[in-house]
Amino acid sequence: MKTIITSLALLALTVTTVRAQEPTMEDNLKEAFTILDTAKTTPSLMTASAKFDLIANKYQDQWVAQYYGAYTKAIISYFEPDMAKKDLFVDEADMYLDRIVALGTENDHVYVLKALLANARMAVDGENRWKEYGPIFEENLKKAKELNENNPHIYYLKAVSVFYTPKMFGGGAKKAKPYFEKAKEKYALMTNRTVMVPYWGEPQNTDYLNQVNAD
Amino acid sequence: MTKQFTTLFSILTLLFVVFIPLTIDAQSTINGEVKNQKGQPVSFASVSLQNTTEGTTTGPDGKFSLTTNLKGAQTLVVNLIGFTKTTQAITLADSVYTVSVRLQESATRLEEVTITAGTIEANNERSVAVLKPLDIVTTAGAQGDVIGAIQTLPGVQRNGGDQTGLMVRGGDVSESSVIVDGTITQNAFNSSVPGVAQRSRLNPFSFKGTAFSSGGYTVRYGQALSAVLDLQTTDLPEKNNMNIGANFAGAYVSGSKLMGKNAVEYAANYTNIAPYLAIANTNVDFYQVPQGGGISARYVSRTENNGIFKMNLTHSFNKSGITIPDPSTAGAKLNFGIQNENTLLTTSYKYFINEHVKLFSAFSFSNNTDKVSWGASPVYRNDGRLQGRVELWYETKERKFNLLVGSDVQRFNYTQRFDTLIGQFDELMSSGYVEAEWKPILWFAIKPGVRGEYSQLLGKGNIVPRAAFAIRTGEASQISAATGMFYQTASTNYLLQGYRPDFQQSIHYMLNYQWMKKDRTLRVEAYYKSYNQLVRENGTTYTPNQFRFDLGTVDNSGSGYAQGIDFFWRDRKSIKNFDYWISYSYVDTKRLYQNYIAKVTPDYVSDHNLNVIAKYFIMKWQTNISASYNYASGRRFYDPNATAFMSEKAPDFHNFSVTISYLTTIRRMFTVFYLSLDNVTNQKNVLGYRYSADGTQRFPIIPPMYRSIFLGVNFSLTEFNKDEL
Repeated sequence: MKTIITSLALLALTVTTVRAQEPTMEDNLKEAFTILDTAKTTPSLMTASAKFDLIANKYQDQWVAQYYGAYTKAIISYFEPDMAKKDLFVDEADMYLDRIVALGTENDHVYVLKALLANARMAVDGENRWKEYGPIFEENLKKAKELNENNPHIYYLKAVSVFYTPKMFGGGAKKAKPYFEKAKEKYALMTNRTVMVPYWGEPQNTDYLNQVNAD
Repeated sequence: MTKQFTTLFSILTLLFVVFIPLTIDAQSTINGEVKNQKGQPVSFASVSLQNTTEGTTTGPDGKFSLTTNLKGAQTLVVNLIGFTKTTQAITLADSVYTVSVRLQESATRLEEVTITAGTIEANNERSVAVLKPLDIVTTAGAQGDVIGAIQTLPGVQRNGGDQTGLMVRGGDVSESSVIVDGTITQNAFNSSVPGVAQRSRLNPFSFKGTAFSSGGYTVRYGQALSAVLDLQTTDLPEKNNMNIGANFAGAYVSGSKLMGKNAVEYAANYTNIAPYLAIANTNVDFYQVPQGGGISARYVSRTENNGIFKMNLTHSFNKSGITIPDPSTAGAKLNFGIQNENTLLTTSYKYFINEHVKLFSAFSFSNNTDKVSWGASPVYRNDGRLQGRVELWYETKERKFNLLVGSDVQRFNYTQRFDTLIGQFDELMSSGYVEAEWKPILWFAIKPGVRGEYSQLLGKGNIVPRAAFAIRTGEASQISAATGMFYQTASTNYLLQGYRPDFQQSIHYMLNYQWMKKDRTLRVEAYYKSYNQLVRENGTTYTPNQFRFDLGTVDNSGSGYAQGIDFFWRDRKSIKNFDYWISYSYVDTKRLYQNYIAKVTPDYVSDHNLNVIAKYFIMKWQTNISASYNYASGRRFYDPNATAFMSEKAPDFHNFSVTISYLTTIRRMFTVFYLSLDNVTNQKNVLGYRYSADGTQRFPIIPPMYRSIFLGVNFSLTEFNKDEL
């Protein structure tokens, strides 16, 4: 009897602990990331973004929370058709980046994020902004590479940038191919993945690579 | 531990355990709807409880449902880009709640009003600029000359090819001033050759900003009755680079070396238009093929507090020999040989003393020498200018008010020797100015200013007021107005002969409407300009010779007016990769000045000017095609047989030009091949007629060339990282 009661109590206690405990930041990030990762349409992207906003605002001292907040806003800015709104989304992303900078976090992911935001800013009005933001993009990728040359995002971002650069300016599919291939190689190194280490872009990289190879 | 106690503990624990999940499972649901001011549903709005991670987003119908375990007083936050964040207090006690939220569009979406009357800006820094610097370079028919492109803007008179300079809203070439980094460029154009338009000395790639003011310009500048072209040179280059180019008129090399926050730039060019002349049919003969060269060096340094220092030194040399129509005798030819040497040193320094105060200083020195052979007579001309400017600019924290206080001092001298006749003058012109800009509300701006000048040469000064206003009338439209008084000393040909007439004066009034939305721009500007105290020659007979020597008695009894309307429409949105603009100007102007014998429309004015510029980029072919059509109604000319002075009109002017550029990358070098065709249809434009002294014979005034072809290539090598992968 005693054993049964104790066991039951213990079991119940365990269940209770799990249920009563608030989800951790990692749990929150995982939930939001799942929405983001499977997002095929603007609504789910916006939902993911709203979730990341809440996480970033709750965990203001966590760079990774700010990272996802900024990353999602940058992605939305690419999809937004209205130029003025595009800039507003990048403004929000920049706010998260500023928090990371204020925290003093310096790692390869932060430089990749800086490059991504420079690219998003440029994409709003490429014709008039490439001169200003192109060098910022390159410079941050270079710094990221100095810290961790195995970060696949470096090569993925560079590849996409080359892919969309008009052929006459030295871009195009053919020129982008080695970068996509390099990114693929580096993505393959990311085996023990957790949401606490930013990871994105691999499926897109595969899609681009297929497209480039088909051309 | 006793058995009972353990059992009791277990039961208590069990009860506790069972109880807790029950309370946690008690939830509240908030259902609601988010609408905008117009009552339309707002989708994608983020709805959350403040300082928690509990949140959701609204659906396409603006509705949301948020389920939470939280209790008590909470704050519901509704947020979406482009709207003001809205909060609502809510007390949760395990129930279902219904809320309704109205979101207000945030004011930041409304652009701040800017004063646009009189000025068209080409600027990379402001997204609302009407034109970009690159637009200027790629305009067909402009021949890569800044001034050529400015001529396609509203208010500017088409130059048929016989005049050197900018003619704006009824003003002649002497009434416009070119300013680079805050100082006047005394020799903005290559030395004038009678009847043959000269290019400007300005390199279009060296500017990041162009502000062309066709009237009512800022108190920072004076000594231009009509217009000011204000250019700003580029800041630090992005990377080390090198450009090499060759075309029908010569070859050049330029480059930049970036060293942290400093950069050195250099350029050298050699011009020789022999290849160009070999295939061009010109209407003037060259007995000595124009050739020349130039070198320039530039140092740019970014200082602390976002300050910037620039220093540029340019030296150039040119010579040519042309057989031109003799300005003094219609029908006769004249051998005109010229050797020019020009040196220009400019420095400017911008520094932020603190967040609110900016210091700007500029200094320049120029020296220009022409050795001319006018038929058999040697002519020597020399002019030099030394000038300095210092200004302080203060802006309040909210950026609603700013104040500019400054002063500039210019010392310039001219010498001319024609055979034994020597003309000379030396001027010291000092000025001071104050200008304020106040934007009490987002949609209203006012900019009053005052400028005072003193001329040592004349022993006289003047004080002028100027003011501009702007009101934003809608999300994309605004109305702007400007007025001001402008003074200018008499042209150098009077001063060289020792005449010292008083300042000439003009007063501008203009009203501007501008609508700008998504890469479409409409500008309409109406103006009235009065000219007073214009310089007049008395006691001589009229001759259409600009180089006449007998000027009689000179006074300020001249006067005139100009009124008109300018239209500008640009659309780069409707068709992908297609950009076009149309500018049309109508001017009604009359003046009695110089040696005119009646108040008439001057011989350099076309009443109607139309420019249609189109640019299309064919992505697949990596080719940019630019075409431009220019129309100018016929100019007046002097016919001694006519009953009225300057009453006859020349035929209308038409010009159609095309430029094709092919862009590619050759071995990491960005390469552009360009082919320009000016006056494709080989239109035989006649700009006017000149009559023989007895009035029996007339000779057409024609441009230096009709159809012409120009071909060139530019290679640009930018530094790259060898180990990118």
